[in-house]
Amino acid sequence: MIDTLRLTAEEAKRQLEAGEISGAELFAAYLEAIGVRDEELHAYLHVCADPGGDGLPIAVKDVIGTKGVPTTAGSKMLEHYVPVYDATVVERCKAHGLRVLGKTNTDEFAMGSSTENSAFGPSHNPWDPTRVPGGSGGGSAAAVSGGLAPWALGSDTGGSIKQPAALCGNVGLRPTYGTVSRYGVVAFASSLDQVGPVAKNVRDCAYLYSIISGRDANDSTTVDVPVVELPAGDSLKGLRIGVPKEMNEAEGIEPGVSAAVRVAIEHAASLGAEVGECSLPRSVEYGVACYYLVAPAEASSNLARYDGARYGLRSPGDDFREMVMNTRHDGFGDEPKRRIMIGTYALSSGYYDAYYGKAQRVRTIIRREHDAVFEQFDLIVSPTSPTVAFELGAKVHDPIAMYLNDVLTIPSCMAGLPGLNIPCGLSEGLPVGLQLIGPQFSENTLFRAGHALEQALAFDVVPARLR
Amino acid sequence: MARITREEVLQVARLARLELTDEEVGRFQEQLSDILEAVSKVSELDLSDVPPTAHPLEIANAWAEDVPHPSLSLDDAFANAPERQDDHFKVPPA
Amino acid sequence: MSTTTTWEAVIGLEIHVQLKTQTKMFCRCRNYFGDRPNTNVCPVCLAFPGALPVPNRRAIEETIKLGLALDCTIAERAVFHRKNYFYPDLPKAYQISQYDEPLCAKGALVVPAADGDVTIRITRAHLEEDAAKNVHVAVSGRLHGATATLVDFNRGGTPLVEIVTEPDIHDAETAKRFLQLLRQTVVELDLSDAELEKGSMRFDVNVSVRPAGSDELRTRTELKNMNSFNFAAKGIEREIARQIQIYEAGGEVQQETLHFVPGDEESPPSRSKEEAQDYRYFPEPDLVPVHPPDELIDRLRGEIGELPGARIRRIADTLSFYDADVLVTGGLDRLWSALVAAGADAKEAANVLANQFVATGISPDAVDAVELAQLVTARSEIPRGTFDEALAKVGDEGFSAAPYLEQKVVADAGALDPVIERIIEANPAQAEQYRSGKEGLIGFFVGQVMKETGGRADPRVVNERVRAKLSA
Repeated sequence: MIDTLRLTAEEAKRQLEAGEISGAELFAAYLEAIGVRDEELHAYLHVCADPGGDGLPIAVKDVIGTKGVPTTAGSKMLEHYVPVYDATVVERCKAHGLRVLGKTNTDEFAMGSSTENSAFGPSHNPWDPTRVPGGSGGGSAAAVSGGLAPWALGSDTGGSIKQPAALCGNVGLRPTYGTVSRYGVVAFASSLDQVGPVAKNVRDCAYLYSIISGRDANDSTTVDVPVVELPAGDSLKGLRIGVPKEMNEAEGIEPGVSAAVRVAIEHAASLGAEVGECSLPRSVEYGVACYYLVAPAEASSNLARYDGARYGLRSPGDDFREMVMNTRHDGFGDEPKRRIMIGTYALSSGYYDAYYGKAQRVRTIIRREHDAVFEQFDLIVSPTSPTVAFELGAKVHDPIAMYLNDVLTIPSCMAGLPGLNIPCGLSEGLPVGLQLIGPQFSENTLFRAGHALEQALAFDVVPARLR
Repeated sequence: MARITREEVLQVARLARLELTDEEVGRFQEQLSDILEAVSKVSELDLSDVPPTAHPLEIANAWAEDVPHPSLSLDDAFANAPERQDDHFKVPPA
Repeated sequence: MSTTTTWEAVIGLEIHVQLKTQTKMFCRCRNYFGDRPNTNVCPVCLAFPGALPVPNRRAIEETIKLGLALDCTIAERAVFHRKNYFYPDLPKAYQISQYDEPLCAKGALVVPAADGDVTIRITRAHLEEDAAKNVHVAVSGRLHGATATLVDFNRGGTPLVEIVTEPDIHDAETAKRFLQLLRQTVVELDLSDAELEKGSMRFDVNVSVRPAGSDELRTRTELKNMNSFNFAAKGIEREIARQIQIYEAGGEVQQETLHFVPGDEESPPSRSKEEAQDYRYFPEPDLVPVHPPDELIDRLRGEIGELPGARIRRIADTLSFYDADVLVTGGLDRLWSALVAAGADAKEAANVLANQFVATGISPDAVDAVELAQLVTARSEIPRGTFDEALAKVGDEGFSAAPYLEQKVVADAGALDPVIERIIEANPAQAEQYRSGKEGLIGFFVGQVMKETGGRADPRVVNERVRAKLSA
């Protein structure tokens, strides 16, 4: 009897190789779990048939292109779109023998923090289905925590892997910008988007990262990466950990979240880490404003190709212009429309310098502040999300309240830095996530620290109500 | 304070080819004004001698050799096309 | 009631040249004209979700080479920008182009002219991708006038170099010569076929006028779709005249775009007032900057050689400007130089090439210059017919001038006099008529002598000796 709630990818791999389970049995176990629980969780938009073989199954966020399998980006615009090519990350997974289980739900075009912007209905948090799983990658997080996939691919622009991982109690990595190919991934904000692993533990996360990462000839913004080391130790001796004042004392952080994070930091110290305070004076204060200028600006241009001409939804029109305007009215939900308009405004003649131009300079400030901190520390830590999972519907009508969910994940994204979320405790019965952020290309340090802490914290990733 | 006017909403919608109903124009005008006010925070900083960051990584000269790779078959090119006429993509007149 | 103002035209050009690389600018689909529609396409040039651009290294190098040929400064750091607008031939709804950090800037092209060279400054030359091809069609079975637009993306993504000049041109003829020289430069560097009918070279012209001597810049109009250089000269001239007429009548020239009909020089252009477009340029986040290495620039510079403009100037030191111009623009000057190096007289060689050789249609590259030089040198010594025969074969493999040179023209009076005397004696009536005033009959006697000598007599000497004998 395969316990998909508890089974890690590493353990599944061991069992397959030892002949204890067959590839078909494994895939079938997930299909069965999906049949039982996905009606409640709505993690999946599309479930695949077993393609055969005995590779590990994997769920894929629906902004990542899968050949022959619908890829909707959570939008009516692409509701019936079936790619004729695989994203590079999918190609690499398949080359490793992995089998795609299905496509997971996402906020439309990856824009959101709760999956409530999905055109196909929100996903639900496995710890409490009346609450959101986070977003935009809430589907992948819900699938992993809900025992509907051993691991998943997500995408992160301002926190879309890390924040759902925090809210659902699993491990998510936002990699260093440029270490994972974006080819074949529906673009949101080109200078911020990164595909990353979502898993039950740090070792699985590291292993999946090693499969998908590395320079891709089809993506000229990618680079070679250091060899990934699967973490094994339990000591943090010699590791200098910074605690940025502004990220740990920001307005809006729930007391329960602060408390759980403080406990985790104390564990780190007892494992031998040297913990000290540091400061990111402007990164947190100006990060959200900066992000909500840069990302929508790039998005307004990236989403311009959705015009009903060559694929996707087409609405009627007497001439080309009318057809395009109607298609884009009908195909996009409110959030993409808002971001397209803000982005267009920020780039428009007369406003560029004050908005987009300015935001790109703030970005430099954020980068410099982080660089300065990393001269004294190997990592910095903070809560990933200021709150635990909130109730469905609680913030839907307040875009800015929704944006503030990302206040702690955004700054490091702007600087292209990697960040790892590990669950570090509960607050009111709901998971709290700890965010570890390092300099560019420091994934191995993040894995090492995350793994040691994970062992010490011994957080049970299976949602209490499902045990 | 940074508020967006109704005309600006219409102008931006036109640039972005977004058809909007009257109700939508009004609603978005409110929301966009709130967002604009929040993001205008960046103007508090004096950044005249700070260069912009267009790329998180300092890389340059990424390019490929001028060697052809296989193109898509016609079937694949048109697999998701809303309208096709012979070997062309068909759209309403421009 | 017009004042007698003298007017000066102010003309600037914007030229687009398609590079003839193997593949497109940002993807590796074939860059090829004439294939079945939509067969040279991929997710990138169709702008499928998730597609990303990857620059063509050769296109970047060729743009730099063109910039160097135009005496431009090559940027230390060049950036691609997105130019955003919606149109069916633009699948991403943005064109990847360059904005304020182009690859090449601040150059010049010197246009040689008989009455003094004209230096036209090049503002910039940058690299971008071409749009796809729209075809507007009528849809049968629908309401009268209903149409659709069909799109072929084969051309979409072709590498395009855009060259912009300062408004340094002041007449239509110079504009035409500039375009011809630019075209020849681009073709010689093997960067493009630059064929106006195929669209691998296109240009727009900006025209305004001002009182001669002033440096004001008045409203300009933009002329598009003139697809030959003669067409361009005509269109420019007419526009200059039109604008002068407006000002002299006290009016104001409106800023307009004039759309000509390609291939139709006579039809007046349609006019439109283009809305100022907001392209919302921003640096392309999917591409990283280009920092051209010094070694690359040096290598490319070394590959350039002497350009047509410089060759006209150099050769005009030896020949007339006109001859130099004809040779270089006719693609004959390299052969000419080789002939001179092989010992032929400069002016003779120029003469032969520009007149007789050109008529043969033989490719200059097929000619062995050493052999042709001998032919040129011996031109007055061999019969005209022999010379023409030899010239017709001069492109053949292994051509040798020797056999033709043996057929020397007979110019020795001593050899010709006996023949002439015999013919005069055999034609007493004509001789009598000539002596009594019918000078035209000289042709008859010369003709007879040429026939008698099988065409090998030197006609000048025959003419001289016949006159001498008849007058004796």
